[in-house]
Amino acid sequence: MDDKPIKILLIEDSLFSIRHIQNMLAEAKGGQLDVELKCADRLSVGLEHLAENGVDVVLLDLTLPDSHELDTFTKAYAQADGVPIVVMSGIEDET
Amino acid sequence: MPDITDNQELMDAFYQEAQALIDEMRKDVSTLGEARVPTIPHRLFRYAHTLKTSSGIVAFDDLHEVVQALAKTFKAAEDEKFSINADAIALLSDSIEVCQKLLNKEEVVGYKEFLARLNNFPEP
Repeated sequence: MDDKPIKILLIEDSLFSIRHIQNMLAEAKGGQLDVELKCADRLSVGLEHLAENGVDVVLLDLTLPDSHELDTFTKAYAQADGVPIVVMSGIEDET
Repeated sequence: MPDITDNQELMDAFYQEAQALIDEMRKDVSTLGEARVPTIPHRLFRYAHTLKTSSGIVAFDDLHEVVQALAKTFKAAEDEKFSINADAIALLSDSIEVCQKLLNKEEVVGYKEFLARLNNFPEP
């Protein structure tokens, strides 16, 4: 079994949300989840991290200072090269 | 699952960010009546959207309700669904002050009526 930490890229500009997610990851699996969390508060910074490779999963907020809604996902998806993206969104438009 | 509001560090982060967002919204709304800057309504929407999310996570229900209505209004402003006149700016300014009072845990007299007014804006 691969015992390397899961490398998570969190693209989120809200400090509160970042802290909340850090807490949830720390509590996950009884505190035994081995993760390396990298944060980016702009899509442009997140895309740079993705280009460096070494990301196992992306947690993506859609509403960012330099991008919003589906455009955020589209650009991240184009750069992710198959890395799974989990979209976190409070936008109520389901279309 | 532990109650999130028992996490003092997280709650401090919420209050700090919430205040900063309210301050930014207040500043931007005060400039709405000046020359139209297309990016301001979107920025206002983003601030309100962020506060809507965080207030919902910490179950700050009344603040969440007002900010949710405010986010919809800013979105409508961004989409130019109403003209940003003096009445609109007054309502938006009042809404931000309601958010401030709720964050400070002060009583908001006529809260339900105000929320209904904000939810029904712009009137058809």
